Amino acid sequence: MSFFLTLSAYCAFILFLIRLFSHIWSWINADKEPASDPLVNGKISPSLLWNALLDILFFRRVYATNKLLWAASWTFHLSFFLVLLRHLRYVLYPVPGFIVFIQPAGKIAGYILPLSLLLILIVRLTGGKDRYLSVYNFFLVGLLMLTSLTGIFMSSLFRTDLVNAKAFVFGMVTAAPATLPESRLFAVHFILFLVLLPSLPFHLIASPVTTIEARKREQALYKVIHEK
Amino acid sequence: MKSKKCFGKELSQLQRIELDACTQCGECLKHCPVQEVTGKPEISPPEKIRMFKKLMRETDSIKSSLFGKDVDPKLIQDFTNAVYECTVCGACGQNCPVGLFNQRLWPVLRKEMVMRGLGPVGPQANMPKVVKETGNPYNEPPEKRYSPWFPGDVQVAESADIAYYAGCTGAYQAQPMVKGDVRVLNAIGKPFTMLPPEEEVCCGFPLFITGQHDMLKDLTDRLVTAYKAKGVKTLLCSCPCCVNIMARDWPIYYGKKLPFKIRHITQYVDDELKKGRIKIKKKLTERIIYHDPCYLSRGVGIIAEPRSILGSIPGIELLEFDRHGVNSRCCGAGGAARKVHHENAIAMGRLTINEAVEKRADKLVLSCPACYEKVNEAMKGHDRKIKIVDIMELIAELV
Repeated sequence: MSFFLTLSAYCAFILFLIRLFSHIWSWINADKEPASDPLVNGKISPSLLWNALLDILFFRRVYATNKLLWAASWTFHLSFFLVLLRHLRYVLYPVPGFIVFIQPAGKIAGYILPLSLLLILIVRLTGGKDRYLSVYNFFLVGLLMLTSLTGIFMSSLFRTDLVNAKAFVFGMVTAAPATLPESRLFAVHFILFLVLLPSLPFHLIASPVTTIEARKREQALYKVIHEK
Repeated sequence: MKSKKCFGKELSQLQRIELDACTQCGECLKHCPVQEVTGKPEISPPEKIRMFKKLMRETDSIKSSLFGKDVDPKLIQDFTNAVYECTVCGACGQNCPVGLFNQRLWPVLRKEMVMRGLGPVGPQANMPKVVKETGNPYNEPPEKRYSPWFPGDVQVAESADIAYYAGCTGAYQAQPMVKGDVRVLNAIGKPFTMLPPEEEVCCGFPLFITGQHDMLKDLTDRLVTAYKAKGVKTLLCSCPCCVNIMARDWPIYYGKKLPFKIRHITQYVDDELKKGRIKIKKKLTERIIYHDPCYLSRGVGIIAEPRSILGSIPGIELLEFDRHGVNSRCCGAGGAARKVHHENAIAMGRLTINEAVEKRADKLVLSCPACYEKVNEAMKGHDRKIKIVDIMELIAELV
C-alpha cells in the first residue's frame, strides 16, 4: 500500500504538472495581439492595479453579483488557503515559524471549509430558474468536502499518528519513501488529495488575469468614442 | 504544425485565458436574456465555454495528438446551437465575477465555427453574398437606401466636416429613426454630408457578429476611403452596432488610425444642445422610459448623453428600466439571432414592453434601429401596448 500510494502521488504530481504546462503552453502559443480590439488593452495605472488587487483579494466582482455566493466562496478560498499553509508542516523541515504561527488559524479554517462548501452547494442548488451547477463543479465540491471531512475526523475523532504521517509525506518529497501510517482514514484522505491535485481548476491562475483585464476594459470604455 | 481542424486558433491569448478563468459559477445565467425566455441552461454562457474547451481538448491536446482528433458530432451541433442562439448582448460578461469580455468572445467563437463550415446558421449564411451584391444585408436595392424616407427639405452638402452614416437597418427597417436623425441634423444648421446610396455600404457588423470576417477589411477600406475623400472630420451614426465596429474594429481592418472621429449622434446633439445651437421648443408632459442598447452602453459607453438630451425636454419625467446603463437587458434583436430564433427575440422584446408598461411610461424611447424594428414587431399581437419612439424621432418633433 505504501509503495502504491507513493507511486500514485508521483503520478498525480506529474499529471498536475502536465496539465499546468499544457495550459500555459496553450496561452503562450496563442496570438498575442488582441482578437480585434486595441482598447481591450487599456493602460495600467497604480490606482487601476490597486483596485484590481482588491478585486482579486476580496472577490469584489462576486460581491457585486451575489452577496451570499461571495460570503461562501471567499470564506472557502481563504479557509482552503489556510488549510494548505497548515499542511506545509508535513513537507517542510525545519518548519518555518510562519507556518507554526498559523497552525491554530489553519485548524479553525479546517472546520469552516466544509461549511463554506455546503453553503456554495446550497446557493448553487437553490438558484430557482437560473440554477446552474456543472458536473465538474459538483465533482470538485464533493471531492473537497470529502477531503476536508476526513481531515477533520483525523484531527478530532480518530487521531492519526502525526509523526508517522509526516515521515510518510516528507519521505515522498525527499525521494526517500517511508511506510504509510496505520490509519485507513489517512489513506483515504491522502487518496482524495491525489485525485484533487490533477483536477484543480485553472481559474485559480487565470481569473486574476481576467479580473485585471476587466478593470482595464472598464476604465477604457469611456474613451472608446469620447476622446477629444 | 497544428492541424487546421484544431479549435481555438482564432482566439487571442487573453481569450484563451478567459476560457480557463470561467469558474462555471452560473451567475451570468441571471443576466442572460436568452435564459430568461428559454430557461435552457444547455445554451448558457458557462456551457458554451465548457463545450468549446472540450472541442479544443478533442482537437488540440496531448491526448488528441496521441490518439487522434475524434470530435463528437453531437458536441459540435450542441455548441453551434448554443453560440448562435445567443444575442451576443454581453450582459453575461458585464456581470461575470471574473470579468470575462463575452461581448467580444462569442463573435470569435462564432468565427471558429465559420472557419470550419459549421456556421453561421439559417439566413445568416447568405449575408456575405447579399452584402457583396447589394451592399446591405437585407438584399434591398441600393437605390432605395434613402429615397423612401429622406425628407425633401433636408439639405445634404457635397462635402463637409461632418458626415452622417444612416446604416442598413435604419435605412431599410427603421426609417422613422433615420428620418429623425437627418431632421435633427438639419435643425442644428451645420452642413453635413452623406455618401451616395450605392457607396454607403454595410459597415460590416452583421458579418462580424455572425463570425464571417472575410469581407470586413474590404468594406472598411471602401467606407473610410470614401469619407476621407469628402474631407470628413467627424462621422456620425445613430446605429450602436455600426458605431461599435467603426470605433473598435475599423482601425484594425484599416491598418491605422482612422482619418476622422466616430461619434454617436446623441453625443453630437447633446453637445449642440449645450452650446445652444439647437433648442427644444415644445413641452412634453409625459413619463418616458429610455432603453440602453447593448452595443451603445456596454459597447462604447454612451449612457449619459441620451439621458442628458431627454432630460432637456421641458415637462418630461424620465424613468429607468430595472436593468439600465451597462447592465441593460437585450431587446431581443442582438447577435443577428433575431432572424433565426425569431420567437426568442419576440419574447425578449415583450419583456422590454412589459416593464415599460408596468412602470406606467407613456413612451418607450429607443436609440437603435435593430431594437426599434424588433420591439415594434414584438408589440404586434401583444396585449400590452406602448408608444415606441426613437430618440431623434422624438427630438425632431420638439425642436
